[in-house]
Amino acid sequence: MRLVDLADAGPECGGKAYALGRLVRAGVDVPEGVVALGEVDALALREVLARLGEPLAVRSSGLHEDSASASFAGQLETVLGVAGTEAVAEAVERCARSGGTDRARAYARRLGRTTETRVPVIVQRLVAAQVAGVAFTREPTTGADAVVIEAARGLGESVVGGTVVPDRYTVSGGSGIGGVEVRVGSKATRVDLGPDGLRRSAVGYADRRRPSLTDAMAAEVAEAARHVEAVLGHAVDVEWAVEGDRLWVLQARPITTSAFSRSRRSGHDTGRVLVSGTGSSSGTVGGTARVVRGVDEFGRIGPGDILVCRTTDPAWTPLFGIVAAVVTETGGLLSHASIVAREAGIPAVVGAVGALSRIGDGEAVVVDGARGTVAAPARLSEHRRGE
Amino acid sequence: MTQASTPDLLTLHAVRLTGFGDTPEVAARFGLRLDETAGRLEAHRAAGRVARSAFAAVSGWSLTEEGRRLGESLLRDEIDAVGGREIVVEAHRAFVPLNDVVAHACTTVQLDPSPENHEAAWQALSGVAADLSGLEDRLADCLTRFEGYHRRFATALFRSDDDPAWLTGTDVDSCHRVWFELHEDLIATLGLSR
Repeated sequence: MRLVDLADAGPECGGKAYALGRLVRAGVDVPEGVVALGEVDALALREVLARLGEPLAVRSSGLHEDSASASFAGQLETVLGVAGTEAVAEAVERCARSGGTDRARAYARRLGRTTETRVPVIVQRLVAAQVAGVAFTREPTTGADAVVIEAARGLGESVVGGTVVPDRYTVSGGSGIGGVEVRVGSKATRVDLGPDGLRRSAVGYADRRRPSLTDAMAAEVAEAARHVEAVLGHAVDVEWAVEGDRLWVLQARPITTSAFSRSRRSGHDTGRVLVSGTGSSSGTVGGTARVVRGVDEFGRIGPGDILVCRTTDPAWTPLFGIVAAVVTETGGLLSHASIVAREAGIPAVVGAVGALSRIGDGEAVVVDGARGTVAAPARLSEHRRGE
Repeated sequence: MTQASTPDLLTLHAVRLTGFGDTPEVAARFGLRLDETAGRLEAHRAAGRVARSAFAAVSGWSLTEEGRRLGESLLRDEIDAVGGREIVVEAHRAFVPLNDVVAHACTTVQLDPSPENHEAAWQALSGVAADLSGLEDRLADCLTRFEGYHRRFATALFRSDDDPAWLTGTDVDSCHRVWFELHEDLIATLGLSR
């Protein structure tokens, strides 16, 4: 195993690591890390752990990944919150081999490329963020010259994985930083670093709609994103995190298409619509469907799950404080489920006839509370191809 | 002549109305003694009528299917014993159009919490409160357990003037919560489903 300090990472370290290396050399705050190449060596890893501390973030850095012409977003592995030599070695091995997974291979083949059987792996200190998210240096829908930030409390996984409706800050102005426009989302859950790795928990109603950034912080994130754009020489989306009073850049990727599809990072590319109904509480989130028929099944529901049921009565109200979205077969805009979902700030689709039979328990789904749809997440073949 | 329900039935019914209440909440619903309520809940549990469950950070009592069936049959016997069925049927009939007014007022404020919508909701719910008062009087004339909805609804409406959470909030005894509970009460008493 060869270890390269992230600060020295070149093109041989894969797209993700190379970009981070360039940022470190330009003075951007990137968490300390190394790039592991070749077979895993436990002894060498132990030294890395001693140097970086624990827990760690382990990510693959495929050679074609994050290039300007294609995004392998989500196609290669990321393991967060790993601790202990053995677990880290396992995570590095998994990430190194992720270039060879079926999904990554199929994606590469579509682009007429081959995937390496082993890819470089980035091992970094995990930033225990109080607030984190992504920032785009182009307005995603119009392509206008503005930085759009999506933010939520805790680690950035909630925003990146689309499990919450994030706060959205639009910071206008090309070179200098202009005004900040805020659209507060609703962060029903958050992910934090717990004693045994990452932990998702429900957020109290009052805090869900409390903005996660001040205007000054948003301006600071925007400035950092602009700096990253200047260093890398193209429009970027940046994953950032605030820990204490420090702003860290965790990842930076080129924005892949000119008609930039929001779906690539924090939004949702959806596949087949499973069922539709009345969208009665807006916002789009993804999560695991829990098809629940009665109170005795409540124990199966965890923070961030998607509740699918026939109808709700008073006994069901506490569930709204835990789940990421609600889908009911009955009801309309004025139903109890709709009113409580709006109160809880979670997306809701009601009157979704056939939901209990068309949505599988444990299935990954995306709920769009504005359009009133429940869809499967996009499969590989449906991913938008870069231009 | 108005009549009081047995503590056993009140305990079971309180579990249904509070939804997922813990022992103190269940006891408080009909002003029952806490220690006695705890004992009754245990007995109901032993008989398979209620279950205590916990998920995420929440824990509380809920009715089992058996408890729900038994509760509805006890409520049916009780209302028939006092000859009040027609009164409850009539109350439910009066409730339905008012339910639309309440749901509409709550929804409008949630979707656009402008001062105008707040004022309109306040006006609409004040009208509902007046109707609720008469509706509750007729119900409580046969069974005392129907008392309290109007007082709670009016209190919530009064408080909503300062804090809109009292309109639709789920963590306070808001207008919507009180209203929704009355709906459940009428449905349970008549053995209807949603």
